[in-house]
Amino acid sequence: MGGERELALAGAAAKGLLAAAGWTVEDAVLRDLDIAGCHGCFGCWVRTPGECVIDDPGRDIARMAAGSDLAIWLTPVTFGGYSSHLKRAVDRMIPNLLPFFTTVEGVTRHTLRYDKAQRLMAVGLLREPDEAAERLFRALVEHNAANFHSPGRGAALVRAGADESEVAAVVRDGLSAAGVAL
Amino acid sequence: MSEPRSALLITGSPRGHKSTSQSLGSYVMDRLAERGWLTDTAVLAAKVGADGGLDDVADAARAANLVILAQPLYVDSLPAIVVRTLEHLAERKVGSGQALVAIVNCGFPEAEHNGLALEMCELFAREAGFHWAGGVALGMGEAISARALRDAGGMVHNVVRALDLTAAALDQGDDVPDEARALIRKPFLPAMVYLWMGNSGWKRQAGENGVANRLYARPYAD
Repeated sequence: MGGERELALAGAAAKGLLAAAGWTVEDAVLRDLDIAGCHGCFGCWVRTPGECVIDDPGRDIARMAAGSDLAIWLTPVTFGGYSSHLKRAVDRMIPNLLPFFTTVEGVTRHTLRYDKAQRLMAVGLLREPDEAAERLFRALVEHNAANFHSPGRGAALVRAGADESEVAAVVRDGLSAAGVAL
Repeated sequence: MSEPRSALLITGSPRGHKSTSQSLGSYVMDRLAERGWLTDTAVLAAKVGADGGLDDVADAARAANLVILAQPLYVDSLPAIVVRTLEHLAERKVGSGQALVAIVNCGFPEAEHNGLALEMCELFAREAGFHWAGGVALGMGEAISARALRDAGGMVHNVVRALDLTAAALDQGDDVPDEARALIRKPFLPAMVYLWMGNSGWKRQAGENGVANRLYARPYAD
């Protein structure tokens, strides 16, 4: 989570909707975790396959991701992408992929390490209206979903100042887009 | 006599100096130096997390006439250390109309993967007050493998030509030319050859590390 009120509301809304639908939800507040950046060493593929060589909470996040059916990412929209807090965690998820190449949606990607892939829903907080940033955020979620072979994906944009009901509606739409039955 | 212009290379690869990003960026810097530019390099792997490191990068970017941001693609976008740096620079509005250029490389054969990362750099330029002078992006970055472009052989001739055109244009005060953007996107190996080499390489490296039989390990399986 990025810490803003609207993202906290989005997290609470997602938890509430999922709990009501019978889901079990685990969460992590990334700004409170000391996660090192990916070194780009590919040790998670060729030295300690499936696990990052860095022993820190980044491993826990990758483990949570691998074991889940749905990943929900909450972040301020930052240059059309994710904040550095979220990006550090996402970069550390590549141990959940294999190094080998395959084709997904017409372009080269890495193959999945596990049989199960996660649905992906990302909530982005837009501090001010910005069409370019919004379009880019949605495109990034699409690309990430292809990267992680997600069977369903949704991007939800929350505007700064949105109230609780507005945030809840956006989150519901995002979860529905990701194929989550509520 | 006018003062020499200055260019700052920000190397965004977590691998630091020994990276393809550094190879690509330093090639352009060398061409600018030949034209009389003063050049400087900030390697983010050494700056992010170091006391005052990001402030050093901000000061250097503020002082430069041209900033070149060279990085690999990480999970469809900019590496986290680059995002952290751009957040820092944008918060301080270090741009005052100086030019910003991005160079992005990815390990997939298709250069198109880099498109979102280039757009993010453009949005950063807008937020931080730089003039977006354009970007170049290439696939098959692992084939360069951090070698100096002069040592990478004939396969990178389009990359070299594109960066030569880029440096010449920047020296003239122009943006990255379309011809450079198109040239550098051209695959420098047949995709099938590159993919075969890549897949073989992973197995070879795992074998060298004694984990060939664990390549498909699932440590987080239930």
